[in-house]
This record gives sequence, C-alpha cells and structure tokens, in this order.
Amino acid sequence: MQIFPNDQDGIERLQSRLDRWLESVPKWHDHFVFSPNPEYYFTTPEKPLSESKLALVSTAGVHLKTDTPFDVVSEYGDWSYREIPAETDPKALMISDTHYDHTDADEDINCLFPITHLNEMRQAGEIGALNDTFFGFMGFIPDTTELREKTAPEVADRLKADGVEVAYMTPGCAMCHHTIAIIQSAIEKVGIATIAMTLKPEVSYFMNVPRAVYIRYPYGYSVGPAFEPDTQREIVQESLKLLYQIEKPGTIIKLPYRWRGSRNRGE
Amino acid sequence: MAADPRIHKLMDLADEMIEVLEDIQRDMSDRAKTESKKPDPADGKIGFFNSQAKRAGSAIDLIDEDLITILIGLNNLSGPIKYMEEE
Repeated sequence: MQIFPNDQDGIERLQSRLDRWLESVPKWHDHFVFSPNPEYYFTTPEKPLSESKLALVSTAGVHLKTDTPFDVVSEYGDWSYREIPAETDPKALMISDTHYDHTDADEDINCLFPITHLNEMRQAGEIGALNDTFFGFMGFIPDTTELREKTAPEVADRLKADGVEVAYMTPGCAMCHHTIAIIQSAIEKVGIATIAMTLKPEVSYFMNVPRAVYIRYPYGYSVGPAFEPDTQREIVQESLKLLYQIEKPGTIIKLPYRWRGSRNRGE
Repeated sequence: MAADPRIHKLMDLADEMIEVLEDIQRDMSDRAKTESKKPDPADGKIGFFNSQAKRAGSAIDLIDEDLITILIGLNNLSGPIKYMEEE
C-alpha cells in the first residue's frame, strides 16, 4: 500500500498546495469557508464485502434526467440531494454541475459514478447487496452550514435506516472534495464504513477524511478513465479492498493509475 | 471529446514521452547488466549505461511530477471555462 503522503516533506507539499488553493478560491467564491471535520469518525466494517450492503454516494452532481437539476447559480451552493435507484440505466442519468469538465462522463457516467460496476459486482457475489437508493449531491457548496447541519446527517440516517454497512463515495470538482469529506464524516458517524475517491488529496487530507483513495486524474474521472470499463472496475474493486485494509483514520492510499489524455480512449 | 481537446493532446505527448524514456531506461539497464556479466566487464561502459538510465529516470520524474500536475490543472479549469462560455 502506498500511503500518501508518506513523510513530513509530503505533508508540507500538500499543505502548500492547499494554501495555494485556499488563496485562489475566494477570488471566485465569496462565501467559501474551509471547514475541516473537527474530529475523525471511523467505523470498522464488521462483515466482508460479500456479505455487506453497499450504497454509492457522489458529489459529482449526478441525478436522473427526470429530476430537478442542481442550482449551479446560487453563490452559496446547493446542498440538496437526489435519490438514484441502484438499478438505474446509466443512460437515464445526467450531470448538472458546471464546475468541472464532465464531457467524457456525459457519455460514460461510470468514470465517476460506477453504477454499472457495482451492479456487476453484486451479481458476481463480490458485494452482498446494494441499497435500493444511491445518493447524488452537487459538490459546489461554498457555504456548508446547511449541508453539515441538515442534508448530510439526513442522508447518513437514511442509509443507516436502510441497513447500509459500506458506502463508496466519488467527487466531481475541487470543492466537491471539501463537500464529500463532510458527508463522509456524517456517514461514518452513524456507524457506516466509507471509502472516498480523491483527485485532490490536499483537501481530503486536511479535511480529516476517514479513508480515501488517490488516483492522478483530472476532475471528472474520479473512478478512472472514461471508456475503459475494465480499468474502472479494477479501481472500484481495489478501493473497496482498501476500505477493509486501512486501519488508521485519515489514511489516503495512492493507486498507481495515471491519466493518459485521449490515449485512454484509444484515440 | 474533452472541453479543450488541446490539453488532452498535450497529455498524449507527455504520455508518449514517458513511454520513450521508460524504453531508454530499460534498454540502458539491460545493457549495464549484460556488460557486467561478461568475464571482463568494462566499468566505463557500465557507468555510461547506468548514468543514461538514471537521466531517463529523472526525466520521467520531471514529467510525471511537474508537467502532468500542470496539465491536470489546465484540464481542471477547462471545464468551468467551457460551461461559462455556454451560459
């Protein structure tokens, strides 16, 4: 396992990357306040994945095409969430977020919302069961007050009431990493083990996430390359394995996958 | 198609450069190994091969750590720029 960062130098590099980001964000978004989770909530999974019920939670702005789009105009953000049936045809989904490039994800949503892979893993017996409902947030939430106090705990309680034991979580844009950390913490707090993908480890690390998996891809590819289902599935499988292997709260593991531009599409 | 295909094209070039450099690195390491197995290995040759492999490795690190980080950053901003123009 490649723990990231793995030394004091690495932590300092992450700190300076975070500082640069925090310096630039207020230029565009007045109401953003960096709000790290005050403490680690960390739930150890009790049963193997093959006997557990899993839910997918994303902050990439994914929802049903028939649903109301997220509010991308409000300068405070949109902390509401959308319910997505686990067996939804990926073609029935769309992304209403304008804070990252999701052109590829519009054609292959599994590169950031791996609904097909999770269903296949359940059919193969790798996952015990899927929750009937997955949840979609839009991560652009500069003011997280309502998220922290209302919608994140609400979704966490829903998952708990549904008997969910494991949550797999995916971000979209930069701020989505801030948002997902708050939701992740709320879900762990009710006793559900989580693992979140990260493309911006400096935010995940200093937000005190319970566990995360880092891959070097741009926003919009939090589960790996578009149009490469085998690689995406591999990344999901490896990440879920890590959920069971990570024992220390706040651990981020870097997986050796790297963006290859349009070569990922075989162009 | 990406928001800005030019950035993906740059990434293709970076990826291709890494592949070529990895090939040089492997080739030089292999040559150093082959030379060192000879009954009378030439230390000078081995030094040259190893040095070249090390240089290729440094170039890979430079591209991987610095250039690709910048290209990912460029791609990240291309999305908001695209959607802003569409508004």
